[in-house]
Amino acid sequence: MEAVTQYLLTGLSVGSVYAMVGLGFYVMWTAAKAVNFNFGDIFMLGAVLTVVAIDQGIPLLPAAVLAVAAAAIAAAAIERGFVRPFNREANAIGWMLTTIAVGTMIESATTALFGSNPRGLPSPLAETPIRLGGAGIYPQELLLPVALIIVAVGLELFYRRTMLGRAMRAVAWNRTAAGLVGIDADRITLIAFGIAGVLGALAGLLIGPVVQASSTMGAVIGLKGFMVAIIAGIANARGVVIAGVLYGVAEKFIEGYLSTAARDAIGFTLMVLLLLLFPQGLFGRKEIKKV
Amino acid sequence: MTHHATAGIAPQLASPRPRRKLLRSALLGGFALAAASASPATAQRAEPCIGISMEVTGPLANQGLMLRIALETALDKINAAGGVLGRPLRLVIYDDVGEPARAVDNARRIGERDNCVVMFGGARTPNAIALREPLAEMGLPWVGSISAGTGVIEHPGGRNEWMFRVSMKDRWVTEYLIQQAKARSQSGKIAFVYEGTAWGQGALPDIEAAARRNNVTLAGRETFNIGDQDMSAQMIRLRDAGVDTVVLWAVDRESANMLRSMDRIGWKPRIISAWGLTTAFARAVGPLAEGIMVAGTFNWNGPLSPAAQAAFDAMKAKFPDRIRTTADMEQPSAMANAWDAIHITVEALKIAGAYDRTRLRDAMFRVNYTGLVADYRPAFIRGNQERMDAVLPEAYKLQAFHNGMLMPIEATPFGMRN
Amino acid sequence: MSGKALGWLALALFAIVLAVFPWTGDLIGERWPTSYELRLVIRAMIIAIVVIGLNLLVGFAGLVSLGQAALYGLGAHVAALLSLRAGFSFVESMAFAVLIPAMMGAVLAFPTVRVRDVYLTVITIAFGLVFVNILRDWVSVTGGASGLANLPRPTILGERLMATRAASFNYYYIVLLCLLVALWVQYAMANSRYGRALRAASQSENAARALGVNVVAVRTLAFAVSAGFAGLAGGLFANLALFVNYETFTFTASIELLLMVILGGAGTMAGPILGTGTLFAAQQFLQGLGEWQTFGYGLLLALVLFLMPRGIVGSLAALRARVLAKPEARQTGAWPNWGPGLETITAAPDERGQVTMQAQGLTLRFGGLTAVNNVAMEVRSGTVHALIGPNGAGKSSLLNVISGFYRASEGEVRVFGQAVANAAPYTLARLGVARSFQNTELFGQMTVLDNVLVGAQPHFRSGFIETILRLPRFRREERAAREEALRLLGFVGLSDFAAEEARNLPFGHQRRLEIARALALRPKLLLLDEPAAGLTHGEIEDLVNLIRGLADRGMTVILVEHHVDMIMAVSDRVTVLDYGEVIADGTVAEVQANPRVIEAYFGAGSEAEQTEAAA
Repeated sequence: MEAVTQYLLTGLSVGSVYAMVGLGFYVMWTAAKAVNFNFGDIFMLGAVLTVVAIDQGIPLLPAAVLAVAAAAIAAAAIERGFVRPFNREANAIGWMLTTIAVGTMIESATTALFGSNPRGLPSPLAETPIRLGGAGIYPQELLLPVALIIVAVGLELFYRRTMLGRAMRAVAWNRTAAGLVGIDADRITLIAFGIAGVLGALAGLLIGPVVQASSTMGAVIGLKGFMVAIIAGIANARGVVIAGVLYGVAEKFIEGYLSTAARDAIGFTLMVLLLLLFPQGLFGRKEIKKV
Repeated sequence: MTHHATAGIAPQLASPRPRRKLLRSALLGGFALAAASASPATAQRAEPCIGISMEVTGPLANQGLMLRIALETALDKINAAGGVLGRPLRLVIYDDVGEPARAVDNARRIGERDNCVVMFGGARTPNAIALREPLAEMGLPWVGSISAGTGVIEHPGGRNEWMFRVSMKDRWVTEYLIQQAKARSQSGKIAFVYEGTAWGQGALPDIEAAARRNNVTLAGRETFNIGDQDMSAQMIRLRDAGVDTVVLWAVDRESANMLRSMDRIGWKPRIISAWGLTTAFARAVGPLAEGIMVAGTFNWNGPLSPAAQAAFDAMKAKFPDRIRTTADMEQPSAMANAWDAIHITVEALKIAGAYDRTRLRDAMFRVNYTGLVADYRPAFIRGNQERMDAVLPEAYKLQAFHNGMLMPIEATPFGMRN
Repeated sequence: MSGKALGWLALALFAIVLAVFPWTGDLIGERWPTSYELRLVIRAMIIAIVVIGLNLLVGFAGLVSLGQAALYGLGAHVAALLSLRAGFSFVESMAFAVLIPAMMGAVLAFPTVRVRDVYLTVITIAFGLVFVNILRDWVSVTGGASGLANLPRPTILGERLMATRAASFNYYYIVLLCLLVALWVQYAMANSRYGRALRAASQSENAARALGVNVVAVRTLAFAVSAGFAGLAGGLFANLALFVNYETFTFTASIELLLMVILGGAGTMAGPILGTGTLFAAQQFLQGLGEWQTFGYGLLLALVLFLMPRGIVGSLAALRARVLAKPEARQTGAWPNWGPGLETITAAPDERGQVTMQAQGLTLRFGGLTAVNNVAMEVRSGTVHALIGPNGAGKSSLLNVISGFYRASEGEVRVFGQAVANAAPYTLARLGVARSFQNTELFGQMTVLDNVLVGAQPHFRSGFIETILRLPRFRREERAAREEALRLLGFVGLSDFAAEEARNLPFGHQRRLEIARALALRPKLLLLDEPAAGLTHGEIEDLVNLIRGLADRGMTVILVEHHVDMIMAVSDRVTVLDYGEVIADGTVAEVQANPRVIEAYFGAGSEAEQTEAAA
């Protein structure tokens, strides 16, 4: 029972990370039908830039805000410089390669400047765990599901209630038509990537105190977040949240009862099978193929 | 950030050897199975350079950097004293990105194009194992100062002729750790936790053999992969099995995450680790590191011999950005190993009397040298590949984290006999 | 010099340079190349073989795989395990190193039945990650992260295969031979119905299916061949290194392979060689950057993608085309141009008056919406049968059921007397049903001639092996198909445009091309979905002549159209649909007099159709 509690708790926390990264992919995809393939680097920047800012003597909270802002700007700049020029035709894949290229540069520069060793990100919430019998969790980790809920609800409200959010939905629905009613689709897409950057950087910053900040911390998480988004049906925010959390919990139970070494092999196989069973994603709507 | 690297890394071209030979008629005829007529690799003079293939980029880049600091400083001192056999000895560094195939590319480059007299190795065991055959084929001596896998030196059929090591050997380390764990465990329930790398997986059979020899029944074997962030499942299983002492075989980041997982479930066993843990680990987990023991060959934080002090001072002078205090020696054992390795090699070159690979190899067996880590008498023994390892288990030292520093265990409250 | 001759010359030079390369030192009197350079070239050649395979997938089939390194690794591990544990000889283990990944590739193709684009890419990524995880953690079989070491030195006919200057470098020539074979297969496949089918399916899957291309089958073939090349290269690598572990075959390696394809120029013949060579060389030079080398690598890629988005070969070819472009006067011919050889435009037509197509109780629902409701309809051979009705009446849906794109919810369709419910579009195409699309669906980046050649697909009898080996039957069929395609281009007046990319044609010409392409099937039944839309008055007249001419020569035509005057001019019989139901059926005159038709058009039809109906 202790074990089950532990798996649920850590699963919830790591699943929230997947879900937030997945939401980032969702926001990018809806706006541009393309993503920053190396979005894990934005996640990484969230944590690493916070450490760098703290090194400069800035207190934790302002440092975190600065880091998220910088990461969001980087995310938007990647859209402008590396996604937009390569996403002009339908089914273009150029953006996949250019974002991989820029991701390689970011990761390499971070390794060279920040060092290849992981660095701790100090947080008062990651010092003493809350114990529940033989299970336990750091308060910092509980921040993640809380942040996830806030972010998901906030995103929903943003899409429904604000002009900008509505414009974003219009662009997602039909880019050309949105242009005809005077919406600047390019600008909207740029902002969407910035928002995604906030989500990714926030996730990295929040998990940083528990897993340390390092230049390579984002690679696998980025891929998993993308897969989670795809499994959910990338155009469904609620689905992404549910799939992300579920995948995080499932991983912990795989580790607990099947194998720790083969966790990813089992998890990814599961995802592929789900995708074959539900080609539009678990929560995606079935499209009628128009001929 | 320093940029001393560029000069050392620049490719050196082997001096051209004019050999006038007409294009053989076989050129066109022997398309499928052509036999070459190039000069034999043996009996050729080599260049005064040490080639090294290691991780300059990637997750283990820091180990590569520490190795470079030790090697370049040692070489500077040697060259300042007139070099070896009247010529300065150069260091050429190539990146293998942690990939064995690249390590072999680099070995070929070092052995064939740069024509270096000796090659040094980096951190990764598979990269060293992949070199066994090419090194033997080229007749190129290799000296390792990190990669500790048993198979690096102990080849199947006892065929190792060219690979030497001034580092730890997993087969001996496992024995050492099991003995230390057995001496400290109260319940006798000892578990082995290892990372899913060649280093970690490769230690598993060694540790099991060591446990059998010492009448220890392992109460658990758990593994995790590089990049894993949460080891709760493994730790819960070990705790529920009543384990009180963990023999750990992993590097900083994952070990820190493991400590976090232990902390979550409120379990604090004794941890005795192989040398993957460094000061970076202590920085990451703070007070949780207190009391964790690490086997090593050398510790810079304790009292230093004059030779060691001089070595440290030289590194500090040459790399002021990186090395300020002894705590900045992030790979303490590996740096001492590398320091000794280069000096043993230089001694051997002097005995060989020429920049000649075969003669260097033969001379390696005749070196007696007093280094930082041990008194090597002799450094290596011919015909006994087990002893192509220079550092014997007697030289292994237990260290412990205390106040965020990795100290000789005698200097901490965790020494035995208390 | 023509581009093709230039290509062959370049290939011959390339082969000679590579063959002579190990001997350069003897020519210039230097100790060069050393075993190091030899090894680099061998490794580059091995990777080029993987890249050639990936090019088939990415460049021709349009399927982006980011798991190719895993197939490469599968080949390497199959070869290593068989020679290490089972004592297989070099040739035997290599055979399995090709076959097993090829089968794995065929399995990987299965998801393409259901998912495409980025979803497929994600599946290939997952495959690669799962594979590496298995390699790393199935220690008892793969040696885990430590890998498999001390593989026995391979031999052929007792000859030890080596790759060093000092001993022997016969292995170099084995790898070179494999590379040349891979290049040949790539060329032979690309310039055959297989290559055309792959490109067609990637540019317009629907049109390809309608022209008799079994899209799933050709994609499976492409995946299998591609994986087979990866496996071949893997086996060659294992026998070169005599050591394998997972680290050579990670996700990063998959990315590099894809980059090599793109860098060289996806879908080009020489691209894989140039891409591999450039990137491989760059990796060696970037070593000088120390810890910044991966940064330099990323920067280089970004620069290439910005400066040469179509890759080295693609961009050079575009440049060459621009430099050499001569403003040549191209004549658009008159159409239809009933020249010689068009007598048998429809192969084995049904006897006149027979029922060619019969629908009974046909119903098609999308969710709650009934698009076609209980339709009964008969089309007799050699007639032009128009299908009209207001927008949303279900005309196109009905056409899609007849051509196999939609599956009927209820009811039956019989074509040429055979019940064809649930038959795939490509099966129907092979039976003799051809169609055009409402929005022309050409293969935009293929030449006009190739577009028509795709239509000739079902007439080939020569198989894959015959095609690759260029055996006589293949040559004969290919020649015949080309003659036929040129004849059809002449028929629609597009002879001068044969070498032009289809997307560059003006709209009217695109319509002509689509019809020529459908006719290449030599269909018995031709379904035309609003063929006159967007055409000028004169063009419509030509179209009427063409349709009449086809029917007179025995072809049955079902025509969905809005142009009433055209329908009157061309149709033998008209069926009128409204809200998915047949409201009238008869000759033009009968239908025109039918009050329900008038009501449907004037009462419920859109404004545009009212005007048309009134015209």
